[in-house]
Amino acid sequence: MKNTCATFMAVSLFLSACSISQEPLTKFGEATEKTVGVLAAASKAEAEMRLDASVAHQSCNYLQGQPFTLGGSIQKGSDLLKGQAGVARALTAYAKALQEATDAEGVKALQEAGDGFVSSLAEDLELAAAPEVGVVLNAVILLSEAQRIREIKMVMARVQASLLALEVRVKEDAQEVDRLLIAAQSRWEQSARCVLSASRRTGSSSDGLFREYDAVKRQWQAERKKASQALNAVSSLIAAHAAVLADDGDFDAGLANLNNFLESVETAKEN
Amino acid sequence: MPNRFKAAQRINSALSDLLKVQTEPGHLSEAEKAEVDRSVDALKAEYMALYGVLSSASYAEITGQLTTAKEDLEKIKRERDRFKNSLVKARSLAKTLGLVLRLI
Repeated sequence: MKNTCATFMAVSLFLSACSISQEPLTKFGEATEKTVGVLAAASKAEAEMRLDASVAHQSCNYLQGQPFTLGGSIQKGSDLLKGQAGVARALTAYAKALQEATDAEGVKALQEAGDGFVSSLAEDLELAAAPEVGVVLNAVILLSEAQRIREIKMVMARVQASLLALEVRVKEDAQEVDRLLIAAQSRWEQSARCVLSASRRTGSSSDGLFREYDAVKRQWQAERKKASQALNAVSSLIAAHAAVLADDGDFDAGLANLNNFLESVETAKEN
Repeated sequence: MPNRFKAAQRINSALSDLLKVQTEPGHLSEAEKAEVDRSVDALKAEYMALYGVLSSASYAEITGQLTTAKEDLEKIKRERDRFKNSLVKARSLAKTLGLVLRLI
């Protein structure tokens, strides 16, 4: 019995030593989600520009005494940006699932359930071997978690291949995306200038309107700058996945990679 | 499948190292930088081939692949939850059994 206990203790210590920390993986999922926001920037900005261009166009018609529409239809968006938006949504969902699959709370709940079962064996059934059962159960839980982490990494390895294909796509489409954003901005600016000219003629709060439109244009210029970082966003995700999936997988290095990229996006927006 | 994962890990190791060099080339000559770029491209192509993903994949295809990955991660989470629920049920059963045994 003494030998059995010693073996159980040794197994328990060994497993505790190689227990898995989920936290870096969860943080990695969070950083992935933020990085994806950059990929979605172009489609989001274009959709807003289309809406504002439509409103400004009708406002211009109204101020010029021409027929106008309230709540009219908005020009259809480009398939290219819709495709990118679809990928961004799928990547966000993947990042969320990654966070949930590695959530430390889930693992803690599992360990608590195991402890609860063992204490019930000792207290309710007065089972003498409850401590040994506890050690075995703890071992099973740790091994099952190790297996789950491996499965998660296998999913991430598959995603890496998709990210590499996405990098090719985004690189090829970068110029076209920028052209689409410039075109959408020009359409809005044309109608915005018409509204400004007409309101200057009528003298109705033209200064306030000018400031408002000026702020809108500045915001879109910042969004366009952010959208131009889409390729860097995908490349950062690839570098981060590579660091995590390497032979000696380093979650912290992957996380640092994504955080560096997010900082660079913030700096670019401020300049 | 495990062999493919092993190969993927090795490619990712090499890729991770080369990407670091690419970001901070230090005192590399232009020819050396070009060689690093070529190696990175070759590794990326090799990796996509390993998983049968085409570099010409459309956004819709990539979206589909990512959705499958998300579903697989959700399945992993569900398996943990199922395991936890089994332990909770087992605890409840042990409690009931204890009460019954005390009555006998």
